[in-house]
Amino acid sequence: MITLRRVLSQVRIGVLTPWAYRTSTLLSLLVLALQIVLYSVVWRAIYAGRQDPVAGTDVHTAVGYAVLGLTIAAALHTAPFWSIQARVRDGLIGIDLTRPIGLLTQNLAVQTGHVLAALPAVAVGLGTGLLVGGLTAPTSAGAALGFAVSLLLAFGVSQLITLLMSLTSFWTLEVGGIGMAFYVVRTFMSGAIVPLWFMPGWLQAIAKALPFQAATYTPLAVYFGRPPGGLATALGVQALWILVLAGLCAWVWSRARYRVVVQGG
Amino acid sequence: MVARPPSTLRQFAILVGLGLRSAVQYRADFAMTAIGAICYEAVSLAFVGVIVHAFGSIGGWSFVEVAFVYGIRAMGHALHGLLSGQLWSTDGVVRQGEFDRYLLRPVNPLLQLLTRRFVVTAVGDLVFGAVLLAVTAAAAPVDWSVGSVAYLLAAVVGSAFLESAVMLLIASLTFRLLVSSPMLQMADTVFVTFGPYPLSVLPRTVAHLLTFALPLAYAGFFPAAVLLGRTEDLFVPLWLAVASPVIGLLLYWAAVRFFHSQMRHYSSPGH
Repeated sequence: MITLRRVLSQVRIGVLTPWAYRTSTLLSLLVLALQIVLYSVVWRAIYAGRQDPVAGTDVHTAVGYAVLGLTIAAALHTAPFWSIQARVRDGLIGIDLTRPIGLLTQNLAVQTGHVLAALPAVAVGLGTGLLVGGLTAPTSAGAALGFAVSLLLAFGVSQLITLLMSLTSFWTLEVGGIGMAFYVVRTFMSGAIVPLWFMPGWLQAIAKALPFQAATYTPLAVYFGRPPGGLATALGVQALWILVLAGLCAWVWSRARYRVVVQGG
Repeated sequence: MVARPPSTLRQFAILVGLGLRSAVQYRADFAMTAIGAICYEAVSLAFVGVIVHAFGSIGGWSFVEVAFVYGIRAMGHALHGLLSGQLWSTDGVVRQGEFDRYLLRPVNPLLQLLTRRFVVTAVGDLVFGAVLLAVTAAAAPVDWSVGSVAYLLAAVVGSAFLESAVMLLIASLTFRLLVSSPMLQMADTVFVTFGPYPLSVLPRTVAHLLTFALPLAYAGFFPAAVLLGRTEDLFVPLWLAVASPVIGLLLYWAAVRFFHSQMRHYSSPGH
């Protein structure tokens, strides 16, 4: 009970922090809406004059995919991986280590808070999707249910990817450049904007070998009735990634705690 | 006899050099940031690449032709970053009163703003842009002559000034509104999303907006269409498309004037 309350207090911090910087949070919502409008224009232009679907995808699916993909990425990809880095740099990590809940739990809780704080993005994303006429209902009730389950698993995968990334800051104090590369590779390889099914075979193979697709592409593919390898396999792969990433996080952390250098303070 | 102060260009070079020297003090960070920037660019190119791969062509433009538009834009964008990357910090400079100092020194305040730090990401962008432009220019179906090479170089410089002009116009609003980064972010999103495509595929209204309201067309599409001889794809008179490099310079000149007129509205937060 006490543990739960402690964890919830960290979740609360995660919710409150983004909204303390209201302008930039509101701005990110505005940029999301703008991106959805722009991508719907771009996709429709690319499809102009084409009646047949491309790679099994018609223009409605492409636009709908962009709407949902950008929305999910905006809500789930909240990546406060700079927080551990900043706290390692400033020596504040020392305080985190004295807290009565483990560092991994603390960070997962804060990250969860960030996702909750980003929920307005879902309303903005879906609202804009409706405005541009890019929102289509899931292909079937089964797809809708599968989507919900897959989305939950995607949340887990996304959280663990972020955590793993942030743990590397115990080795590299400066993560600006890596962070930027990580962010774009993640966005691209997760299929947040361009569905994996448009990619050439070799690129699809790379994307499927990486965990990022399990964080965005899988639920979207389920939604549009094309779960990779069937619904059971798709969900199974996501669950497997959660196990693998959780194991990696635990292992990296077991090494990292011996590298903690508390600077100053 | 009073020594003449160095020219604006020389001042810019000296101040950028100073910034560069301090930036390379942190060698690992410098390298990682530059590499990060290259990844960023490479991924956005990969996005366009995937689309063209799947669709074969966009609006009748082949992969090489689309990539050539992208090459001009990428190199222009890299030079723009070197010149104007610091505009993103205008908000902070004005709000925290750093601008006070610029007004006290005998160097143009805009010059001081643009050179306050070296933009490390521009190094990555430059490497990426130069390689991409060289490769796509060689592969593009263009009969290269001295004239067309000169036009290409002018177009790249014009593209840099054009993007800088838009960003500078927006950043100038900070003096009155105390905020500009949301608008910069918006403009950047539009530039990044539409930049790589032959704009002739877009609905006419959007294409015209991107020519006359947020003038992206001059930064890549128009010069590329002129060099590729695809003048039938232009949705403006030919002379206007050909004039792209000049339009970039003119707009930048106007933006500098606008910056100086808005600067008078600066009120120090008082420190």
